[in-house]
Amino acid sequence: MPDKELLERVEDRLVAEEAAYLDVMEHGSSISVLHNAQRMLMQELRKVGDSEDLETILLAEVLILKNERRLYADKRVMKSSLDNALNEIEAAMLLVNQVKDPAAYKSVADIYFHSHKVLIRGLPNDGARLFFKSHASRLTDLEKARLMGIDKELIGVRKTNLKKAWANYIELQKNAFQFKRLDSVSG
Amino acid sequence: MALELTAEQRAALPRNSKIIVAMWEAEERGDKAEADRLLSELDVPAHTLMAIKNMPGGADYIRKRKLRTHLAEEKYGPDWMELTEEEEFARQGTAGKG
Repeated sequence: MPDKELLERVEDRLVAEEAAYLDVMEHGSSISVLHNAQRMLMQELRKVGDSEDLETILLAEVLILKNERRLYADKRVMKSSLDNALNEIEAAMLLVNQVKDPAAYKSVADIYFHSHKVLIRGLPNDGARLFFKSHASRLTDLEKARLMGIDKELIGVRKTNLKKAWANYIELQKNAFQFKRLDSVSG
Repeated sequence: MALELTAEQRAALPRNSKIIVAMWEAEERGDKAEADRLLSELDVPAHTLMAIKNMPGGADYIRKRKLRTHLAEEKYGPDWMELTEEEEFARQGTAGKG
């Protein structure tokens, strides 16, 4: 179960950060407040990473992506990149639900064993793993594009969290296939 | 992590920023009720409200925190809280370029 209270605190920080951003856009005079609000959002996202909880990490990332998706609704290039990210993360979250239940995951993942090309170290390179990889490179590109120090730091925290979720997911896959081996021995 | 500001700097802050600084101070004092009240005074941008509304439990969070939603009502229409994400995108489609 995702940590609801932690996610609500991320929402609180995002609300303040975006309200400060609105002031900067409309009045241009309160950048120090915005930077502090960004730092506080970053602190909360670090706590999300520290929780090591896969679903909490992914939901916090969904929130950030949805916020950006709405902000850039009229910028075609940004919009399509964010739409892709959101579609991929939503597909990944479905697999996260399944991978926790080895029997359910096994029925989904069996198709991957028909070809070695879609396996990495014997584990399915499934939609969740494709998301982790493509989103990590998406965040790396963003890191290069955005210049302000605090923006870079924020993206860095998102990347750290993503990597934790990625590693966590692979552990769950390993766990699911250990189940498979036991299952085939007993069967 | 409250911000150190002179009286002049503080007086010159726009509305949201003033509220945010006061909110951080309330948090530092441990006054959670006042911090929550101040959060509910912010003019929250429409895109952020819509993003939160479309999160699991997001609409409940907006109501629980008593967030000001007038900017979302202006941008997305008075029924924005009730629409599904699909319905909104369909509406954007008929309104011209999304």
